Amino acid sequence: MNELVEVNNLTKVYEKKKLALDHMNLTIPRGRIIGLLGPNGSGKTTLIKLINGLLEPTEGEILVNGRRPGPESKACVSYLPERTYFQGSMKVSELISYFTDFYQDFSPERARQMLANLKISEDARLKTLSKGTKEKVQLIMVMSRQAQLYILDEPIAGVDPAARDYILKTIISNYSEMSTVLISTHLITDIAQVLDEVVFIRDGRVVLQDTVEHIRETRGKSVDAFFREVFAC
Amino acid sequence: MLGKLLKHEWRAVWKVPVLLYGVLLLTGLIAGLTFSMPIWDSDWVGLPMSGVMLILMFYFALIGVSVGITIYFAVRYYKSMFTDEGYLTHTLPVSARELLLNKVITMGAWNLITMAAIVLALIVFGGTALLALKSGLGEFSREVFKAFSELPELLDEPYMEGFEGFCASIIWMMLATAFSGTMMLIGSITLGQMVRKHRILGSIGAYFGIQAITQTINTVVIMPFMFTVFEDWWWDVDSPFYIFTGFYVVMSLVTLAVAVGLYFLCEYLIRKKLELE
Amino acid sequence: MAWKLDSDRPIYAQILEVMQLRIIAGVYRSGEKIPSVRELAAEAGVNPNTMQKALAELEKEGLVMAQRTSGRIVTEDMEMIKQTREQLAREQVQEFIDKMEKLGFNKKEVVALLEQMEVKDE
Repeated sequence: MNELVEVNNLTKVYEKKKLALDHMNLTIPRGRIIGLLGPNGSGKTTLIKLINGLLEPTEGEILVNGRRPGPESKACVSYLPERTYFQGSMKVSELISYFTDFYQDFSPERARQMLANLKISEDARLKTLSKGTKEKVQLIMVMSRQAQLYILDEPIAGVDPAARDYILKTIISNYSEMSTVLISTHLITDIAQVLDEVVFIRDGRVVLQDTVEHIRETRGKSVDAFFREVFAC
Repeated sequence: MLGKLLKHEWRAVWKVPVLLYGVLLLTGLIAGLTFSMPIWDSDWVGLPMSGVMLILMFYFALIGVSVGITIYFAVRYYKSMFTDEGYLTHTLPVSARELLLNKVITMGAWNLITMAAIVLALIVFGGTALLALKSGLGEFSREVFKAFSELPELLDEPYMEGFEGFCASIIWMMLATAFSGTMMLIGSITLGQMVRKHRILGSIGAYFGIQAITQTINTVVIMPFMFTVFEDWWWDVDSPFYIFTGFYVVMSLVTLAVAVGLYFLCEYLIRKKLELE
Repeated sequence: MAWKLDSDRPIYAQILEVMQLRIIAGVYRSGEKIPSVRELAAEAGVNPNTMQKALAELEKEGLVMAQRTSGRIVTEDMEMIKQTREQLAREQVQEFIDKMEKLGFNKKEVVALLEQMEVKDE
């Protein structure tokens, strides 16, 4: 079987010659929870957008299940962007039917259950929900898919501790076995303990990719402490 | 997948245009009914004036509805493709072609429906007006009826030859405009996205750019046709309609060609140059 | 016995401690099924693989047993639970004594202090 994601010599230059990714190489295996860590502006979101086919590489390539991003890869990648992407006029129930129609791996029962747990009415229009609730609805939709790869872009940035716990619990209890969860963040402290592996990136390059356990064994310190050491400002 | 896209698109958009059509038909009806009111022969100028105002209101409703629907669909296209909503739109497991075709088909279809609604509103207006006038007796209504009764005779005149073909060309032109108008809108907005920092200004600029290009091509294509017409044709036919028909067909073919070109350009830009903020 | 995990010590060892405590305290009763790896991991906010490892260790110690029909039950061997309880108690006391020694107390003084505190409590 092909690797889940292979990134070969990937370069992305935005207009105005801003170099976001610099000949990056990376392999994302199956069945792991991986932290994509790096300071703001290090290229995390650019990499994520490229995997999701929202950007075209300037150079190099990305392969998801051995193929370039396209309808097939989008069918098996579940993506939580930083932005809320709903049409405000939609009802929660309409959003569920939208996901059910487009994503074969989407489980409406699971989504309904999680929404009911939060007491979110399916008749509610999305624009009437608070920002925090919208973000939770979006997370529920994304995690109700049985995807091969979940990509969560800064899921816990700017949320309170209770919401953070809810988010982490939702991720852990819903991602499917054998699938990989890629979580990007610049706040490693809060999520270090859920990770199998970390990828440190800086200036569009991979600085380090290792298992959390191996880092602890060889460096004698937590990933959190190590991260601060690597990215000491 | 295109079918599912169309289904959800349809479900999301039908309310606004249908509401606007309702308003349009209602104003048409009201404007038509003014003819049955005994206001036209009144001595006080205020009464016929308010009748005129009601008819003008219908006229503005006609313009307002078509402009409103165009803006509604333009904004919707922009939002679902290029704003935060784009993060969902472009991560659906569908191709760029399906995404774009969905928009073109939906917007084109609503353009046609809007044209039909306008025709219907005109019929409602004219119909109620005619019914009202038939029962009325005033000087004004007699004049109107006289004009209408002379219409059939008009068609038999030699200079009306080719009128049916002309009508057909107008219908064809409307069909072509439904599609090319849509592409003009989609093309301007999509091209405007390439001006990353000023996307809306870019769209407006692109709109005038596309218009200018279409006009230029039209002129270039029409020129030789005009010369042929004036040299060989003009003096042999009695009716001007053949020439109008010819112009319309050529012009609509040019706009269609531009629209098809725009379609492929947009598809390429969405596939390769998408850059969501 | 909530999950309070700190990043300075291996998560796996901390999970193990919490689970042992829960069994000793009867949160999970002898012979009863414990929650699944996924549920426990979500509750603790840790990686399921880490939780899996900790439960495997508990199994090795004999505190829980894997069932044929997936899932784990707490051992019915009360003696085993008692032993674990005592062992943990010993570890705690040892740690306490070590600290007291650092403060310059000898065993006798420690015992005297404990008795004195007991009297106060009553």
